[in-house]
Amino acid sequence: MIRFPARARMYWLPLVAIVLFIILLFFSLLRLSGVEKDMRSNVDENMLWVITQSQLASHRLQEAVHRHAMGHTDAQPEQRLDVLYSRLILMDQGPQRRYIQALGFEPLLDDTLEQLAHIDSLLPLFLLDELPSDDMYRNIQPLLTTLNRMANAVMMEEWEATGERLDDYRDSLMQVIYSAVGILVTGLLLALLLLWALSKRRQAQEALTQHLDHLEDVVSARTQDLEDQRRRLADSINTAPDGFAAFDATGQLQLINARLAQLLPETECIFSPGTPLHDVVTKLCQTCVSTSAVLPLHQASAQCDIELAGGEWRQLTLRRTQSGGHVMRLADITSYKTTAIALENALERERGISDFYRSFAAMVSHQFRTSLAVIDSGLQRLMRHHSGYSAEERVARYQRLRDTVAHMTELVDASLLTAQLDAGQVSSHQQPHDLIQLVRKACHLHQEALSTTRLLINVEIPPRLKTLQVSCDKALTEHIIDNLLTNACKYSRQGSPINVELSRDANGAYCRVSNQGDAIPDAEQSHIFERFYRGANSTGQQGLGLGLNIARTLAHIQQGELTLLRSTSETTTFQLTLPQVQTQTDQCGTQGDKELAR
Amino acid sequence: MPLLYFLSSLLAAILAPSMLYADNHHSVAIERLLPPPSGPVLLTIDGAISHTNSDNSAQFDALMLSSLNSYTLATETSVSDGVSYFEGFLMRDLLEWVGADGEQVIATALNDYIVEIPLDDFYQYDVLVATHMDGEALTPRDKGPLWIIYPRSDHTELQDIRYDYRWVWQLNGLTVE
Repeated sequence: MIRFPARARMYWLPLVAIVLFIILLFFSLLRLSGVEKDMRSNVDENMLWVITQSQLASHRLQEAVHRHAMGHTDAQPEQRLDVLYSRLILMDQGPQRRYIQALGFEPLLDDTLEQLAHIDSLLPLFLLDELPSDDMYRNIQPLLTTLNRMANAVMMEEWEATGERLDDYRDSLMQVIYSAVGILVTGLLLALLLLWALSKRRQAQEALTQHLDHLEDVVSARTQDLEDQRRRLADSINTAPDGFAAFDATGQLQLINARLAQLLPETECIFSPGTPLHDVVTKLCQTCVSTSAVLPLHQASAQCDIELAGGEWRQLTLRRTQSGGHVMRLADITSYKTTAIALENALERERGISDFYRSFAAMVSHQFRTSLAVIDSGLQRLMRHHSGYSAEERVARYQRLRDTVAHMTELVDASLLTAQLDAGQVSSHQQPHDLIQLVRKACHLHQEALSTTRLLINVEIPPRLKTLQVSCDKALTEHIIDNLLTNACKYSRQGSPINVELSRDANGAYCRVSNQGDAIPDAEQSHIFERFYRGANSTGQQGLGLGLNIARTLAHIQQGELTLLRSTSETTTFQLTLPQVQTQTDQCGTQGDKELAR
Repeated sequence: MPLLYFLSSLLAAILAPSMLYADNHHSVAIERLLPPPSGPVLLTIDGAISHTNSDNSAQFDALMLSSLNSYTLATETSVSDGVSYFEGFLMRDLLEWVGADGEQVIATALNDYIVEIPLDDFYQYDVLVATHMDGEALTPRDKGPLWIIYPRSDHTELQDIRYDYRWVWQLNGLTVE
């Protein structure tokens, strides 16, 4: 059993109906066309007329012959013969002869024509009265009989033909009627199928419309969801603390968030839409002060730190997405970096302190050991030769031992002060003080401590300078001046004076301390403010190499400066610079720094 | 046979210009005067006509008819096979010659055939009165001497039995009504 597919089953009925409709229509048209053509053909009727007229013409010929024989001059037998001839010639032509042939009268027609030819040959004799009329009648009579016989046959044939034709017409018309009924039925069927198809189509259209509406609802809902998701994503990107830039698979910049613009200067120049990733990175590198690494673009992900002008730091991260594009993330890491740098500095300082204490321990142990050895040998000598020394000699030896102890005390003080400075424990309590008084006092104290014959300290002050107000911490400033005077005394040539000169200008107040002695070599001049640095000409002098370093640090604490002004074979001059105070009130108090007073 | 006839027609057409003057001069004189026929009368026209040359009728012999402008026509007929080539004059030229004024003509033939033909036929179509068929003169023993020929092959509406009976052969009389 053949099973058609559903679609084929849907189409076979209309297809059959249409084919049937066409066949019936074609068939009925064919039949009607046949009838029409048959009706147009009128040879039958024509033949009946032709044969009748021929018969009539033969009778008219006989009549004319008869009238001529009777003596009527108006009788025209030759004209009648012409007419009869024309009739028979017509019968002998084309369709007429074929008709006669079909009836089987062809030999008869030929006989008739021969008879007529014979009559034609006799007629001139008859007209000249050389032929009796009876002979003419005898010759014409068979012609009449033959034509009469042919006329009868044609008449019967035509009736038969007409009957058959009417039968054919009837049959054809009946077939056409049946076909028309068939056409009507198939037409109705087609119309019904059309209506059914239209109704189905309308239903399908309605269903389609409903489906489309449903689809539109679904699409709009999905679109809304996507839009919400997109908005949430955009919000989260825009509110993120970091800057983001997205590049498509071809490396073109697609979008950036607002935060990115806040994190970078000249953002619109670098991050214009459509800029290639490589150009963005290149411009970023040009904009920044330094980078921790060069970004390798070929890798799936890369990261580097960027320093911007003003100490700002950014971390740039580049990630390749699954779609082949890139996402650039820029984070503000300034605080992290600052902390890291501070930690690094602190570590460095700790390392320095550690180094200092290691050096300090070595130096102090050496210096102390030397001083203790001096004291020990001095005491041994005193114990051993106590009675051998005079009173003055003993006093002098005791005095040297005391000097050594004092030196050790200085060493301890300097070491402590250095430790305090490193620990940031020394602070400056700056107040206006008169530098002239401070210098005079320091010089006075030094002069007293030294033997007056050994050394002379000259203080040079411009005559118009009554007071020189500076912003300083009194104790720290006294320590600096004391250090400068101590050094000057230490390195002065025997018997040469020490000059202290005070002056001022727009940049500050100056205190220059000069001594005469060996020059500090040029190579050492730049190192003399470093810790534990001891110059070549300090050999034989006691000291740790801390004094100038401490003095300069203290000057810095007070926004001042301590420099080596010059050092020649004649004179070595150090200059202390301190900020001036413009007020004229002399508040140079007597309070000292307790920490330094020890 | 038709080919031969055509060749002879072509020859006649080439020679025609040399005879043009004499023909025109002759026809103008005849139209005005319509003289009595000198030879045997082939055609008699009576009834509503303005020019006559006999008792209330116009009689024509072969010479008079041959003075009319000659036309040829190729057409099928209902009584013969194939296309036949006819030569003769236009019926309307003849009727104008006699000053015919009417609705129809009653055509009669030697064989006593009588038929009524509307005059419009002759003005609507180039209806020919043929004197020759396939290059040969029509004789009373066939369908001559005059045969009314409709241009059946040029107009499908003429291929109708109701026109076929107007093809009068052995024409010898016309009565204008």
